[in-house]
Amino acid sequence: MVNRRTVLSCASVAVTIVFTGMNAWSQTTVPRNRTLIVAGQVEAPVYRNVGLANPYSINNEDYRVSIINMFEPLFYYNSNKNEVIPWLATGFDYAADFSAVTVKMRNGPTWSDGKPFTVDDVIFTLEMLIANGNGKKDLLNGAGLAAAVKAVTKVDAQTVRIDLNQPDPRFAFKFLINYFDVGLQWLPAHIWKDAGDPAAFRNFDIAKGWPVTTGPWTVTRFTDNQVFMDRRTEWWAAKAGIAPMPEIQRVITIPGGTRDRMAQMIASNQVDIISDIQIAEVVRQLVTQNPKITTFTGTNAPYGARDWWPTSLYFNHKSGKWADVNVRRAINHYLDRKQLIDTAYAGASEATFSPFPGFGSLKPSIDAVKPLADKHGIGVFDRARGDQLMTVAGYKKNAGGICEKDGQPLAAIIEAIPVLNAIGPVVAQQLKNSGIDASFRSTPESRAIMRDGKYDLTLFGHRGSISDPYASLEMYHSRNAFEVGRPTLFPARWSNADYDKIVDEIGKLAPDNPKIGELVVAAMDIWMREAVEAPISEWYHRVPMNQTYWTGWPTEQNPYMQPSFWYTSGSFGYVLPRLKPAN
Amino acid sequence: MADAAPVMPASTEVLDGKRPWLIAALRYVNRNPSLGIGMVLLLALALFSGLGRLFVDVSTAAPLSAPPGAAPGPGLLFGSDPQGRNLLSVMILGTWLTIRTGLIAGAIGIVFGSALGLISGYIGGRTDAIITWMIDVLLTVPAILFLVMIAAVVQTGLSSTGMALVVAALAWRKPARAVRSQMLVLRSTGYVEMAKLSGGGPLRIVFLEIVPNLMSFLVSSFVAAVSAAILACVGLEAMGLGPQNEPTLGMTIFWMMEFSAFLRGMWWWILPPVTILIILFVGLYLVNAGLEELSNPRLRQRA
Amino acid sequence: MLVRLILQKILMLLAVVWAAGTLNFFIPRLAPKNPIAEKLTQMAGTSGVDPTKIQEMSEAFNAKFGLDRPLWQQYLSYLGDMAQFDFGYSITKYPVRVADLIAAALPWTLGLMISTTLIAFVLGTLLGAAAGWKRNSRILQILSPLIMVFSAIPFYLLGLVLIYFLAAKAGWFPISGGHGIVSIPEWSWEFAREVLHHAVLPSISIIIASIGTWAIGMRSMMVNVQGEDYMTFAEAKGLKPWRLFLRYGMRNALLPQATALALYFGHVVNGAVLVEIVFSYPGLGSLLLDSIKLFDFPTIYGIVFILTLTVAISMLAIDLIYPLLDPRVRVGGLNG
Repeated sequence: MVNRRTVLSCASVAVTIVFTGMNAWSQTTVPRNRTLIVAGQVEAPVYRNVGLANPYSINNEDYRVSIINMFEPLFYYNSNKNEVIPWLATGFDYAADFSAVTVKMRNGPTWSDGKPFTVDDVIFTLEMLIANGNGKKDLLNGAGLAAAVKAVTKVDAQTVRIDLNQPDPRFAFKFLINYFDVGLQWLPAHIWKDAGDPAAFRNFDIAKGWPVTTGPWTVTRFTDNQVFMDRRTEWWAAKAGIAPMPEIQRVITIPGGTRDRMAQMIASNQVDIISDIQIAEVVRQLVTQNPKITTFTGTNAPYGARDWWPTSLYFNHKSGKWADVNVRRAINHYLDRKQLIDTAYAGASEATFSPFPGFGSLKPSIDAVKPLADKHGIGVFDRARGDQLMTVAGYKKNAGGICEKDGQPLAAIIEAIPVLNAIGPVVAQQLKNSGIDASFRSTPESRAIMRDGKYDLTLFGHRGSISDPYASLEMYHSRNAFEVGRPTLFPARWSNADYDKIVDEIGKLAPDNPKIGELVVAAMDIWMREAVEAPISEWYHRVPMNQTYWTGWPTEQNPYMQPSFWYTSGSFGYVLPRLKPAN
Repeated sequence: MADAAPVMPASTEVLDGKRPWLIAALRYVNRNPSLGIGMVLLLALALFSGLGRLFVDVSTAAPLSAPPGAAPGPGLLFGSDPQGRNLLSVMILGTWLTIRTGLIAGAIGIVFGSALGLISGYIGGRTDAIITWMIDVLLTVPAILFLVMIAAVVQTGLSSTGMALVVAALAWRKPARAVRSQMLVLRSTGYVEMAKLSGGGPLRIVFLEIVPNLMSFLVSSFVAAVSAAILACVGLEAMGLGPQNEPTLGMTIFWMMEFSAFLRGMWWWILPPVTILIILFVGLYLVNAGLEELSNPRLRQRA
Repeated sequence: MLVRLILQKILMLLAVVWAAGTLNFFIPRLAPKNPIAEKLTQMAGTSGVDPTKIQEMSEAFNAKFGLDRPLWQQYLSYLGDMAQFDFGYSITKYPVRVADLIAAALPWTLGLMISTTLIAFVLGTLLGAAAGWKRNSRILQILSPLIMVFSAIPFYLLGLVLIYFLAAKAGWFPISGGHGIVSIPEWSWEFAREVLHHAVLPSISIIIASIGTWAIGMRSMMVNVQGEDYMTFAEAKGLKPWRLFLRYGMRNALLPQATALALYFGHVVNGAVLVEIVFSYPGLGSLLLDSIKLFDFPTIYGIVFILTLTVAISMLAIDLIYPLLDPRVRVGGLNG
């Protein structure tokens, strides 16, 4: 009896071992205090795209928390200080009419296989993406680049000129500078030219040292639950004196699993940094119970760095339900943002009244817009005023307390993606308490409904501005108001001809043009007056960082970069060499 | 040990002539503790859920009804969850919703499945082979696949009744098979032959002769079907695929896992739904075991 | 004669597999979903996906994966692919092949579910047999109802409770995962110990929750067997109790139990999904759930096909082997 059980256990162990992807070669061990362990949350409990290191594949969820940080950009960008950091390039210039951009490469960067990084690699990457965008359209960024770029020309050994289809003073910020999820990865032409179909190319081979990048790392292991990135022996940036050689000898990235699992791993010092913990309460507990754990804002609320994704309650302007501006204003008045933040985020967040995230560089725009918000009552909680507006719109409260017009009670479903589970039901309840029969949904169906424009209300963020108000304003241009059924992730689907004109004006001016200020006010006046949406709160990435083995993390006191390691810009690659051992 | 009949207290002698079946039932329950305990548990849940509504305002099962994340205290017997739902109301409402879903799905499953199984088993031959084949094929469909797809097609959102219907669509498979095997055994018994000889039509024979003999089997299958239906529903809800606006037990478990109740030590949010579900499953199981004993005398305890 | 019967059975198996395969082809298509659009939306707001270009990218991928062909054409190539066991590329994880995804997930499911099922089966059967045999034993009277009651509790609830007390609070066991974070899988006792350590909690919750099911079944079987004439005869012959128990009791009661076990393996993956979610176990169950949520047709088809095949083959095997074990049963008469 005991024998059988032992045999069974051994059998199951053997089966497990045989298949957990063992490599034949031995791996050098690196001491824990020279290893950085990252637990990144992916959708599945393991990596399913093992051996995929193609930065333009849409299935990037596994390597975007690790390998993508090996790719270095032309320019990094620190949103905290609004500074562009030249990296593989030294600078860029627009033509006077913004119809072309000229970029100058730095002399010195080399690929991990020793070959020099040249302007040919940049041209190759751009042309590959543009060809794909005009053709098969199965690479990320392909379609966007193809729409924007007319031609790419090599001016000399270090300079490239990019001619645009339309004049665009913001082209560099859309494609050449890497920050958050914006930016490109540059590919070694000498390897990729033989790749065949770029969408099917894995770009991965440990023996050959693929993926070849300019960064100080090389992948030595990639299985379904471990990615090892080992430090190379030399790095062009260290040689050029731009950055210190990393002290980290190995970066191990593992799938984070559930939130609870990640929290427990970092609380027990098993890992050094984990993905965003949405629940403010949990982060608060982590920092109070383990003094080694810190966040971007240290041990104080909001326990994280601001993100470019502030939350709003969007109206579907194409559904007809919200055609009356009084109803939209009323709903805006029914939202008690303070109660929402206290309930959903334990008070660790800030209310918003505009679509702009509260980054320092956007402060001028936000301050300019505040009087407009007050004037039109956007962001103001006032139930009485809301009731007044509903009456004006023709609604009466029925026996159940729900607003009714012509016998039809006003009901709506709020669709959302699961990250908004904390705030969604509370918003629905507030509306219900005020007379609108709202209910909340975040099933897999919801995102499809939201994307196709078949929703009533949705909670979503804004992937727009960080320092330049134009990006957020452009989200509401009528060219982004897709008809119902056509998928888009700009949910509003609102259009206003006057607003369009002003935004087009802004689009023609360079981001630092002083005229933009008044144009922004003019555009936002229309936006506020029409109560396009009901802004709710800021969005934070509450990333806990453990200082047991590594210090020098980016914080409010030392905001040299965003600490999030999953951005497809690869900005975490800038952080890695700056982490110092704790002892 | 001799057959220990309980000594009847004097008062029942008065009732004796009036409710003999009640006494017999109580006497049996005494000898069949499974059934007894099971019924007590289920009754307790039914009372908790049914009477609870009279004492507690169940509209407080909605968010923002109580200070968020409060531990149990005066006025908040089970505390509140981080969105401000009064957990006592949630439990009262949720228990009822969950039981109701199980009853609907189990009832439909049993009625439809048994009818199909009985008819197929009785008729036999080609028809039977085809029907069995269909059931076998349907048995291979993973429940998850079916349920998620239906939820995707029914875009207006799933209510708990909707979910019951969806689960019912899969719940009839096993009973059909089981009832059919019973029918295969019974159709060649003596009294059935007699009924055929005396000229009874098939429907008459099936429903008037055979079914009464299968009664306890059918009831026990019903209880098992309800239990399986509740299991399926709670499972789906715990994965987040259920009716998100209704405070069912499965949704409570989902929210509880979603908001890290374990990490935050919110035991008052973890224990009630898990305990109620355990009581529910154990109660159904015990009743089922008791019914099995009823129908299979060999299983009875030699007291 | 026997050969003809076996052929008949195999034909039945093919018929079942074909019908199930057809059903499983059309079910995910009921909802008019496009896997690429779903994937791109899931990455909503992040990572180089131009928010306005979803339609273009979906159409491009449709062409690549043949999703723009008429449905009947897709169905025919689906049949052909399944017959050759060529499941193609996963759409939402391109360019990973479905076969690789399944091969990566299968060992976890096999390792965990099969070993725990076998352990639970053995323990439960013994317990049930003893309970059915010696019905007056004090210990069993208390122990067996308790254990059978545990069977009523779903695996994952038990798992949650165990994680809370033994992993989160006491820290005796890891919360989830298959092995330590920095360990490199290798043939060593060290690593084997780690794998076992990580497997304890998931295994225990499954075993405890399933012992009861097997025990109940076995108990009824034992009780039925005891009433048979040959038992009375054997008792009268004066055989030792152990002999009676093993060779007459267990042996006869075991046959229906074994049937149930074979059928159970076919359905083990269904029940495993929640366990895998709770314990972050990367088996077939969680792969199936992921693919269903994204409508990744090739992966769904691949996994479900394998499941169907497993169930059908196990039913066929039972139908063929049972008559060999129990001559009273006529071949062909035991379905259900």
